[in-house]
Amino acid sequence: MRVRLGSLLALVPVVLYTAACLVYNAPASPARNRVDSTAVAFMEPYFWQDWQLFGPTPGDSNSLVYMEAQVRLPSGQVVQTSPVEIEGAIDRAPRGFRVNPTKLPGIMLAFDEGAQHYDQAATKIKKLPAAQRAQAQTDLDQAYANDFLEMQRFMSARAESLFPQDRIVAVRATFKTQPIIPFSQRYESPAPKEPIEPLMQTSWLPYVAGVAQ
Amino acid sequence: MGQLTGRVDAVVLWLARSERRLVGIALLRIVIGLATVLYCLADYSRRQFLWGPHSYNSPAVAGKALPHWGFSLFLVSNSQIWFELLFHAVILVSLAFMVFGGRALTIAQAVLMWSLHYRNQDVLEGGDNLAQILIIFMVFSVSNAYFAPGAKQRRALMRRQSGPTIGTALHNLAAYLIVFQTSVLYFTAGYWKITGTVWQNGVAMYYISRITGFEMSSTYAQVMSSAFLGTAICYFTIFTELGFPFAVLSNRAWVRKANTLAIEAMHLGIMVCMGLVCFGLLMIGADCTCLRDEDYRSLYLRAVRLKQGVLDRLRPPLAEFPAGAALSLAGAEHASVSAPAPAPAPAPASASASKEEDRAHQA
Repeated sequence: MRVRLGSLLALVPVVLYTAACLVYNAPASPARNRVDSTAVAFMEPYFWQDWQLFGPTPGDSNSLVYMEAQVRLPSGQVVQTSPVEIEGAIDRAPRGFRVNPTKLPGIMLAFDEGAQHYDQAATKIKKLPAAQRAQAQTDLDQAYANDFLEMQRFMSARAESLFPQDRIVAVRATFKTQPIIPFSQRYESPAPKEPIEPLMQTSWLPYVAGVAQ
Repeated sequence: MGQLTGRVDAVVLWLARSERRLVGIALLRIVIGLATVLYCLADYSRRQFLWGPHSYNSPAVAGKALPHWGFSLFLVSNSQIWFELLFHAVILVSLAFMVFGGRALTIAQAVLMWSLHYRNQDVLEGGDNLAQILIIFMVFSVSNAYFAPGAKQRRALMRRQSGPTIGTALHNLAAYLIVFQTSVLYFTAGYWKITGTVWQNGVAMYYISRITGFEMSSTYAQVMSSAFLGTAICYFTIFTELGFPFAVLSNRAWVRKANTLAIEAMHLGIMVCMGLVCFGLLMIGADCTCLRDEDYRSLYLRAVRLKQGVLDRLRPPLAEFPAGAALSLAGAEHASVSAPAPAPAPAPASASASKEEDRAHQA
């Protein structure tokens, strides 16, 4: 009796999980929308999941991140460095040890994703009536405040490694994208030069000292 | 009413009678432990930068990124000693979990792994997401019935237990959830792919191979430029992913084995060509749970037979006349033609025959 009751009680959450997981992973539909909030409440945060894994469309462009720094010279004059592309080197870092590659490119992926989402939201804000724009922009900046804090600290650490002798005052990141050569043009000679398009630029962010290298 | 009770009893009996998928869950345990160790060691020299108290991802920002009810022991204190203690505890506990398994270590592994993952969510891959979920289910399962010290005795004990138990039912429900979650993952991944134009056109692999973060070699990108090969790999990926849940449910062992091997081959390719080693490992671990224990037994017997066959082919043919006997024969002939030639020594031949019998017996 004890085994029967225990097993039946254990079955209840399992059946609930099965149902919630199926709803949670189902594509958007009117039916799903009706029960979505219940499924989300059951699944998050511990069973949060996203299995799109390069579907439906894998990226068709590569991101480039340019870093600039404002540096104070011994004379007291503040000068601006020329932009240095930093993502390429980080993306190539895993090739240094192929058996157990570094996870560093994940940081750039997260930044690129954040920049893209910010850019999309900012574009939508530009289309709003003038009276709503300022508030919407403030809300957007507030929503991305943590992402910008991360970028500020990351760029500060990068600037310190690139300009170790200098007194860095501020850093700035510019996100750009370059489309991958289309499949149909892959054998063209000379190889087509895809244009680099700007995506987002941060304001000058004050340098943060003491970030681990 | 009586019929319903009978059916319920049958379900309970089926659930609580004997533990299933013990081999697969033991393999998953090893893989989760190994992948976590590799995850820590991959950036061991950069641990301060990624997870430390002075990381670019400051504890304050990481704390704000935690979901409701989320936790990370790394955020309990900003002390350097606490970080070092905890980070090395993750490595040691993962190693112990990989080797020994067991419920207490599974809980410790779950808490520490979740803590590490929530400390910096930027450096996570899809495999970590799956491991976070599966480790919760593993708490209720027997993960050390194979490939762990004392596993043989543990299995003997499990065989001796009389009648259904709640522990067995919990293990089997956890095993079901692990397999179900893995099947949902593959079906969803396959569904999203098949709805994408680039996957339908067979050019998705070309674009993936040119994303700089996943381009481990230029040869891989060159190979994926082939229209035929690229299309074949795209379609192979979609079919194996969509077919996964059906293969798991199949009663035909070869369907289950073939689909699991195909999907594991795909993940080996991802590990080598895209550099996603921990992701590939964790996915292979999850795939392992989708084979039944009898599948592993038959695979093991097949591997033993294959090894035996290879050894038999590699072994030099038995000499008809051992070197010593041949020499003595030649000597006898030379000494006296009329003297009776000694028979070839039977000892080596019979020794090798008895070895053959032993091997066959072992097999």
